[in-house]
Amino acid sequence: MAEDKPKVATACMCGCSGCHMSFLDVDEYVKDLAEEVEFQSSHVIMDVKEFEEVEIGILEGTITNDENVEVAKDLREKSDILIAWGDCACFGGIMTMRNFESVDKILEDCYEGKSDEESKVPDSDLIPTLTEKAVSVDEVVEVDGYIPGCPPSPEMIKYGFEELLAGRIPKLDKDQLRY
Amino acid sequence: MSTVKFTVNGEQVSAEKGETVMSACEKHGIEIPKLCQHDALDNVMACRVCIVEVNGEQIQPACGLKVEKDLEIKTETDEIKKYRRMNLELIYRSENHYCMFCESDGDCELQDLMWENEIDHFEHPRLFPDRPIDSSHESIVIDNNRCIRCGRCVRACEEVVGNQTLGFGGRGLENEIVADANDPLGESTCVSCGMCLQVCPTGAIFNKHSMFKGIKDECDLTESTCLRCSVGCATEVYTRTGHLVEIEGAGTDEESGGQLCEMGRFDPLLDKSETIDEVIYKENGTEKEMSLAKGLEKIAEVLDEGEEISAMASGDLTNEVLDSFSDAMRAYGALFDVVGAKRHRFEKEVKRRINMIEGHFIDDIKEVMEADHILLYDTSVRDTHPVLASYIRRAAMNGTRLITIDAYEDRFWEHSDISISVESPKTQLTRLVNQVIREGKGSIEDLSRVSSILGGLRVHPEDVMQVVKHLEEPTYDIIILGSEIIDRWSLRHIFELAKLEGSYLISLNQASNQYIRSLETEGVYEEPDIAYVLAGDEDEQEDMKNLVENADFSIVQASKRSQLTEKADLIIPSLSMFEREGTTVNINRKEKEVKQVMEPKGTLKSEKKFFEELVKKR
Repeated sequence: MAEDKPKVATACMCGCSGCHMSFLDVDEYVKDLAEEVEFQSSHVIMDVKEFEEVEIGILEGTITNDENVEVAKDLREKSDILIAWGDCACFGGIMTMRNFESVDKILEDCYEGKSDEESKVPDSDLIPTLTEKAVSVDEVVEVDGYIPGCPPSPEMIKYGFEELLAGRIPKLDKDQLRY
Repeated sequence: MSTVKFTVNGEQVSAEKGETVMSACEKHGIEIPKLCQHDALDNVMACRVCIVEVNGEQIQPACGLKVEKDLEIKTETDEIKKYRRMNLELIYRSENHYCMFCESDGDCELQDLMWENEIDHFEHPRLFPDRPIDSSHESIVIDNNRCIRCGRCVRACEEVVGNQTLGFGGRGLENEIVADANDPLGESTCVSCGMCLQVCPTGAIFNKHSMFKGIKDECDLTESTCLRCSVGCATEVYTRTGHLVEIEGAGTDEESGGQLCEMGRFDPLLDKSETIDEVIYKENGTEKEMSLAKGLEKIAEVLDEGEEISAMASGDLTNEVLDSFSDAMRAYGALFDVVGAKRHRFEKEVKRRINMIEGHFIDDIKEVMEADHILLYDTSVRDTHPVLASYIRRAAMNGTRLITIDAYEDRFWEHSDISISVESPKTQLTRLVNQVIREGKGSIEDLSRVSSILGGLRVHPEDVMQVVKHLEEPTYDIIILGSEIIDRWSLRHIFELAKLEGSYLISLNQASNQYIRSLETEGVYEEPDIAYVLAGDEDEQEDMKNLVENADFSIVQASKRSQLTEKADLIIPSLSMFEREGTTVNINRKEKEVKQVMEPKGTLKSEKKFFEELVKKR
């Protein structure tokens, strides 16, 4: 039985997880949804970090470092349909405010001498490198559907799932679209 | 006016010749999206959001397209929708719009259109240009990051306010809104009317005192009349949970054409004075609160004992409050006056003396824009009646010759053709002008002789001749007298001049409510036993202050603490401008409604009832 359900993977890149909070705000619909789909990976409800092949991939957040690029490409490759959740994923969002300065300048402004006189820009292979510009998801991988909003309302998150389960790509009309 | 018939989306529409397609469509209930177009302003076709298909072959902006016979217009074809979407996206992505923390989130015409056109992602990368923010002004912020270059503010500043402070600076992608020669707005020629922020479709120009207090859709809206000067502009007052959020001018208003000034738009939001909610009696330097009923008894007791009682009301009150206060004061035998009424009494006296007919007085201030010459005595009009000042500037910009006469700084110097500085009273210059018109140029050719006659005269004969030259032309001339002229001789000479030359007059006084013209007032005792002052929301008037200072015992009724209440022996709460309801008469002699915007906060709920009770105590 479980194998027949479509699989869903969601991830948050450079974002606040607000879209995922809105997702949790759908309240009892989560129960209905859990009967209809199988969540393969979603950081707010389970601790599975690797994506498998899924029918529906959902991304929240801006692409702003090479880990985000990797996550976006990975999920795109493994999903049949990729949906962008929220203003960051759809348009670039608040994170793009760093685009007014160069990466070096931003890092220097944020770290050099900030916590104490000796503090430096962190330099470790473990830390993802910032991309030159912060961009929306569709500037890196192809996106099939968009649900903007900061965050999208729980009703729109729910509508998105309903459309997907009905075999359609969700598209918010003028009465639904808010950002 | 001939009618033209054409079709819109297959439906036949008739319009007046010369009308734009947009205007004709709107009248027929066909909505065409727009950003740069504004009913109060000229059309510039800048945003290209109102594009329509013309005769199946062309795409043109509807705001700039004049109706023609048999024109076939389509407003919603797939192609039009595609290009409109693209234009919107280009407008949005060329600037730095962040709806989630914009002051205008929810009140933005661009955001509405983005939603309306279902734009949920961009086809083109964003630009992230470097844009300046100007927050140097006390009340207005210009954030070029959110500016779409529609130029509504630039047009409003020029076409409506006649001030030409705002303009475009830079070219191409570096184009931005600047004040004067790229000066900080706070140090520019800006008159702080806020018309720019009222017409701005996005969050590019906004009100510092209203920001983040709530979006308009979630506010209560009250349509009322501004009582800060006698123009009496129609206001749209937005409140939320009993707090003032924003005040805007009503676009449908005849007097103002949607304008407001600094006094009407920003001052009420800036006012942080402590309110008076209870009766306060001062005894041996300490303040004691008492109930309204006790306060009423106290007033009656004090007034009963007084021999000479002077009562003075602000000119910013409603007809109903002025009537009931005047009735109450007369019941106690007080002399009654209203701020601004003195000037009106002088005027009446002079009119009677020189047999001046009412026909000389204009009852539509917009007429100044039709005048050939404007002779303006006392340029303080710029600050006391700013909307009238905008019409004077607009007239001057459109070719009206403006002659300004002031003892101090000429506040219209940029627009004035002849600027004359004379000491007050301005009677000297006017007398000379009269003399020349009556007796010919020769009568002032020998200035030294004239000087000796008039004594210490500082008027240049050239100036006099200039004024004479302009007034003598058989043209439509309007003489405007500011409210600072209070001497009878100036009034007499200016009125005589108007009579002699057949010019029209606009005569201003300090009162916002011109109901004082039909109200019986007289001068008050200058050093009375008891002074009873009913203050308004205006800055404190000298006459009121003097009266309170010179009285043995003073009663001040006011809505907030001020220098007046500081000096008063008994303080009575009154309603504030936004708590009062009633009527007012404006400078055009038009009765206008003043609506209650907020519930009264203090113990006093109705001034009329309070004064009626006071009469009963007599």
